[in-house]
Amino acid sequence: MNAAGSLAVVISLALGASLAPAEQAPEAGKKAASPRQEQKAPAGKGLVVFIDPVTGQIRQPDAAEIGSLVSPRLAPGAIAPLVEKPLETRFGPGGAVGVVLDERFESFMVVTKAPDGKLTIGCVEGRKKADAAVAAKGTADAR
Amino acid sequence: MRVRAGVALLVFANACLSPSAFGAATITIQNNDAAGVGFNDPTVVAPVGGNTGTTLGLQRLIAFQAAADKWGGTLTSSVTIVIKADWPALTCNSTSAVLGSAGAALAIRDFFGVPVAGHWYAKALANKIFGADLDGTFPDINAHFNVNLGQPGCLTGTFFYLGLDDNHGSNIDLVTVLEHEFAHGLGFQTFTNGSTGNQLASFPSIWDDSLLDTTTGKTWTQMTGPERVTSALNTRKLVWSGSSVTAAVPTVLQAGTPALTVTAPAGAAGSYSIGTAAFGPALSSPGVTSEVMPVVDTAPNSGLACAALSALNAAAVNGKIALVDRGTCTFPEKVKAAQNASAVGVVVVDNVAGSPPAGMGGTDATITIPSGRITLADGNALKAALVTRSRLHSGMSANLGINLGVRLGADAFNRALLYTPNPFQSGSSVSHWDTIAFPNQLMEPAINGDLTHEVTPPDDLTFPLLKDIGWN
Repeated sequence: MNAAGSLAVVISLALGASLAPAEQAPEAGKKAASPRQEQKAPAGKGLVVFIDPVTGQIRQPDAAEIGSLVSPRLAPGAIAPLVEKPLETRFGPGGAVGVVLDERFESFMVVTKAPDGKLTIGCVEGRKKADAAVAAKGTADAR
Repeated sequence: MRVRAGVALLVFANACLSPSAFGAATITIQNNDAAGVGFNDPTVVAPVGGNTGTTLGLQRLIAFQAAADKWGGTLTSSVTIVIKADWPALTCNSTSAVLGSAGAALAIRDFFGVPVAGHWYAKALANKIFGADLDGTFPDINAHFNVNLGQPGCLTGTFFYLGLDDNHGSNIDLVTVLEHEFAHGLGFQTFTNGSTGNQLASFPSIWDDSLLDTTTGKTWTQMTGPERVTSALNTRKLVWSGSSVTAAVPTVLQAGTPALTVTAPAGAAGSYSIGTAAFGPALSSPGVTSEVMPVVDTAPNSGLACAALSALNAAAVNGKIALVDRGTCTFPEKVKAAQNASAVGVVVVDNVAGSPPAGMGGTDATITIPSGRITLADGNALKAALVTRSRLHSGMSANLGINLGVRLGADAFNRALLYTPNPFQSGSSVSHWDTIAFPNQLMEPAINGDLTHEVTPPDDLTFPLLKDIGWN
């Protein structure tokens, strides 16, 4: 490809925006998925029940109280829960296809300290494996 | 509440998007931490090891940028590489911890200009080849590191070393860990699952084209799922066939691989991997060459050599390489018992399945003969060939030493070995170099304390591999 052609393609595709979620940009020749009818939920989807801290009764929370419920801040030092969702596929111009990778595809570095203070640092894939590696006790291989 | 949110936004904006502009590629750390934590921790600290940051948060950011700059100065791309990073709490206890994690945010295939259609590329590499950001919605790499490391109950007392000079002492060199993790995010990984053999959405990764199983002669792209599962366990028989790595191996990896080389009988002839001992003389070239004789002191047909050998066993191993079984007593005790019976070397057969053979721990300054450990499978194969023997001769001739024709971490054709232990180790298997590689490599599954920050030959094979998948 010559330079001019390359530039034109780059500009047109760069302006053509990002890979789009599957529901917005189905593959060519495929029928578009039906638009979802569900109402957009606030961040942190789910049923919320608010108990008045003074009366102990269930009541309709105000906006500030809703905000504190649906976007809970982790206490300092708290570990975020592991949430696994189906992988999202995205489609772009020219047949490009992307998959959004989550923690399952991340490389986790785990360190273990032996009684003599020696550190062993190793790689595992995915948070489940990493958490299990931390929980496991290292064993000496002296015999 | 509103005022506090405004302050947080200001801090975020100030610390966010710290660019690297002096490499062949620009890598940007996108600060994803809230005010007061992680990169924004205002704790005042003293400069350390060339890191001039005056707060803990700033020193973290400078260390991140240093690792990014190493890659930015090595790789070429016209598209800014964005690493979205934060410092959350990650799992830990007093003696073990998740240091951090990283990986490509997207895998992309079949973009315009792709060198090999129908293959997944890490987003940063896809962008580099395409010449623009294919999806600005996402960063190129996600990275999360443990904000609590070193605190009580979280690898207590051992911290990330934030200096840039590799002088980490007993702490953990953050720049090294980051360089390793960023390499994964840049494409040093397969998206194919080695434990199931399943490809990501039924397409191979560009990585898989260079994964060659020397037993079958097939690449991972050419294999079926079940074949990939078998290949992932084919210890030291899965190599990287890319030309850049193979060309670099002679300048990076040291010659001389520990081996038990059996020359007769023909049915057992071959090179067997050896796990080295922490005691006694190091394996050498030309090593010791003799007959292999088993010690048999335990029913039904094994020899533990945990006590002085019987007269029959002592006569059998006199001047020979003794074959003993692992178990009951320490490795040095077994070797010493054979040495006292005038054996010239000892090979310990593992008592549990698995490969490659691990090393042998222990100390004994009085041991003067070389020794090594082989896998249970290899040991059983040798024992089968040793069934027919006389009291004093087995007819099995072998050399215990190092093979100077094979480099540490490569095969005889200078193709670097991938890490393929049995059982499979998720995240470690296949997407790292074999741990036998020496000098130690950045992309082994375990970070060794002697690593430098270099990512190119003559120190390291990481950049040659990235070249093989499309970087330059």
